[in-house]
Amino acid sequence: MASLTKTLIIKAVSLVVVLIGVLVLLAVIMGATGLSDKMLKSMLTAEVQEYKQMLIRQGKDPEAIQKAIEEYNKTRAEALGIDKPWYVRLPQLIYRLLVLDLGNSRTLQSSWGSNKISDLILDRLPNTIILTTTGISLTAVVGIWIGLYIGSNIGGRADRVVSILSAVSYALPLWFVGLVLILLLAYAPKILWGVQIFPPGGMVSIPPPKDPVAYFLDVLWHLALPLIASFIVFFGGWAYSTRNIVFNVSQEDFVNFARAKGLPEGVVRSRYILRPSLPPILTNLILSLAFSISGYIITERVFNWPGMGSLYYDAIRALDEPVIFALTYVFTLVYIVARFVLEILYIVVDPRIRLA
Amino acid sequence: MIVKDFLKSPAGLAGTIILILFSLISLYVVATFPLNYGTKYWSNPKYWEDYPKLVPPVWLNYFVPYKLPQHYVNDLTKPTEEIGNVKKYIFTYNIDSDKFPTGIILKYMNLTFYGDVPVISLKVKRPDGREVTLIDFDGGIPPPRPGETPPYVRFVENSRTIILAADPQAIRKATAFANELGVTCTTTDVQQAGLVPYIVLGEPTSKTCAAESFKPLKGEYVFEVEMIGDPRDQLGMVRLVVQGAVYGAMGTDYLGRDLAQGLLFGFPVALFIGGVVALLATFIGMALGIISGYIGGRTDEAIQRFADVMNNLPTLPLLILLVFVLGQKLINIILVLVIFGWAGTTIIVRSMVLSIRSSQFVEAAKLAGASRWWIMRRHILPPVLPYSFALIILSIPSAILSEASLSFLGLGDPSIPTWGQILQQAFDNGALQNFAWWWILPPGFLIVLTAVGFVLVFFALEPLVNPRLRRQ
Repeated sequence: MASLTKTLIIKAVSLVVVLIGVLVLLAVIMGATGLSDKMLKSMLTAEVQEYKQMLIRQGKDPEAIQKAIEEYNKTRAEALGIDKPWYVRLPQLIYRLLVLDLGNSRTLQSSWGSNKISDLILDRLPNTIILTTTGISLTAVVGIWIGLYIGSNIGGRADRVVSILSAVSYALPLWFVGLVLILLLAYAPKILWGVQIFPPGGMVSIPPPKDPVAYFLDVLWHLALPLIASFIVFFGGWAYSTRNIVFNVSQEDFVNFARAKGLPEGVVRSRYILRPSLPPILTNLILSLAFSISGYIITERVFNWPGMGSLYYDAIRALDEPVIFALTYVFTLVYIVARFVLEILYIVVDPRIRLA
Repeated sequence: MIVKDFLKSPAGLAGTIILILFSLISLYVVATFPLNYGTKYWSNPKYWEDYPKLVPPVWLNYFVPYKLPQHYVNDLTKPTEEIGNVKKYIFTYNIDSDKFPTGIILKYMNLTFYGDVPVISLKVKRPDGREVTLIDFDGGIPPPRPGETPPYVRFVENSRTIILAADPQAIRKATAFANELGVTCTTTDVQQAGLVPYIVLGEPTSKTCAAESFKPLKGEYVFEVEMIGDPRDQLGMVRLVVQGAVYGAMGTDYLGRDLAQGLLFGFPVALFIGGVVALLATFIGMALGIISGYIGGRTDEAIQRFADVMNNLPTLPLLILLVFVLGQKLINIILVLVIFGWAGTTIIVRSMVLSIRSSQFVEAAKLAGASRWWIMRRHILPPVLPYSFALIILSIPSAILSEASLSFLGLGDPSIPTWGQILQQAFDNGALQNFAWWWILPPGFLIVLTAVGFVLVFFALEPLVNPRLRRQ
């Protein structure tokens, strides 16, 4: 037991190192390329310009204005931290992130006008969970279920179909499938026959329905195309990887031994094949769910879905440094936590690790 | 032996056929397209001025119940008729389609005149015997400047271009003609709805002033360009363009660009980006994997931790950020894709090296006093190489897809057209809303087909080069 705790602690420490490593890397990227300075300078110039306009409107004499502006410039530069080099400024940002103080954005705002990054995330995260996480859960459940079936029927027709689907899965970009579906199922019926079968994008109709049930159905209607797209793209991959895991386990000696012992096939399958297949399948599922938090940047754009992916893209476009840092941190943090949860889960589901 | 096994699998054969075909097309493009095609032609709207805008490919005519008009361009360098000081350039254009052409353009170049500015006019004789003069005289010719001596030469570098649907004089005349035909139009209607081609080439079916109230008048049209001036006055070239409602093998986009050309140019670019990124990333990954696996200890720990970080980063967000920071140049895109592409290979190769390291031939070499580098080169590298080759094949499609994703977000290299960029422009310029399927489907399918080709080859290759799979 003591050795287990020790292993877990080592894992935890190395995951935290990874987390810090990601942030440091990001800081170096933003700092060493001069991007961070550039962003702050353009902000400072804008602020000072605004202040100057205000003073001029108040009708002060030019000399006093000049002096006031210099003073203002200095205090603002200090407040923004531009008087310090990036390798002094950015570590402070990293430290604040590590203690979960996400801070405020520079320009981006949540839908209710808040500048707090935690509000921005609260605003977008549910949308991403509705889209991405639902999509992954649905696809994974169906894919794993079919993969389990195929894994014990290798070489059949279903097996060949799934093998081809997995190749397609690797080669099909989700956003392109989204584009095709929007073109063929949303715009084509509308333009050619004048009926709107599916909406071309967005999360709810404008204006949104008042009645909660109608609202729910409306979101579901908007969700249909992205869900179909992610099912088409990811189904093959899930089924195929599950098939491989099950197939590899069923090649093991202990499975042959169980059969040789004369155990009924049902027992062999559930106790000797499925049980050891569980940890790697769980790994796939949990890591995908963790990754899903970051949303699909391009697909959210294609479907005009206001999720985390489009928030990140907006942050890059607007050069909103604190948001970029905070989101990268949150994405990595979720991933790291998922990895740690997995380590614990392994111990729970795999007696070979627990008893070793 | 391996080649034979490889080609025996249907996946390997299909993949190889796709890749050979794509390579041949790339070679053809590299041999025939200029290197600066992107900046000089593709991103230069002026070059595509004459082309019809946003029209489907020619072969659509085989699938629709009506006939769409083809694109018509004709250049005349000599007058068709010349009587004294009157020169006539005569074009005949035949309409046999059920839909209208999308526009009419008159162009001329190298106008030389000696005295006053010559009078250039355009008259159309229709199959129903009516005549409509669309331009009495071209007021767009700069008169002689003070101090300039004859001959006066105009429109040498840039041609004089009259787009009839937007030319005030042509709109006025066409409106008058529409009223003559019994359609109640005002010049504003004609201008806003771009009705000039409908009025000139159609017959009315109702009185309302709209595109729907005209149907094409089939038969032969004669476009007569007349120049009256000094007998010595000359036109270098006169061109009549009747823009089709279909164009080329792949249609055109909103700027009139021939999509067939853009798509063709995308072949070598995609293969180049995919190939270079995969080669570099796999090479770096393999080298680090061998070092990490064979040397072990602290080096191993450091490399593996680093690979772990790189492998766990949210890749696409950082790709976007980096390209955005470094600038949208091809070299930067390749660099960034390599930075995020090596880690997976390192982890796989390391695990292979660990099993090779404990084999007897390595032990023997060590006892014989061979150096680390010699062992790595002669004993570790050869068994790792085939699988690394397969990994290169597998990283090519992911590099191509990543580049397409970046391009789709508008972060591609603007001087080099790629399939992803064509898709991005389609998405941003209303291809979906206009149901311009020819603008969206082909570039995407080419991206997917290229990726599928490489994945199929990898699938066929993997069992041959992966010792673990070979046993089964």
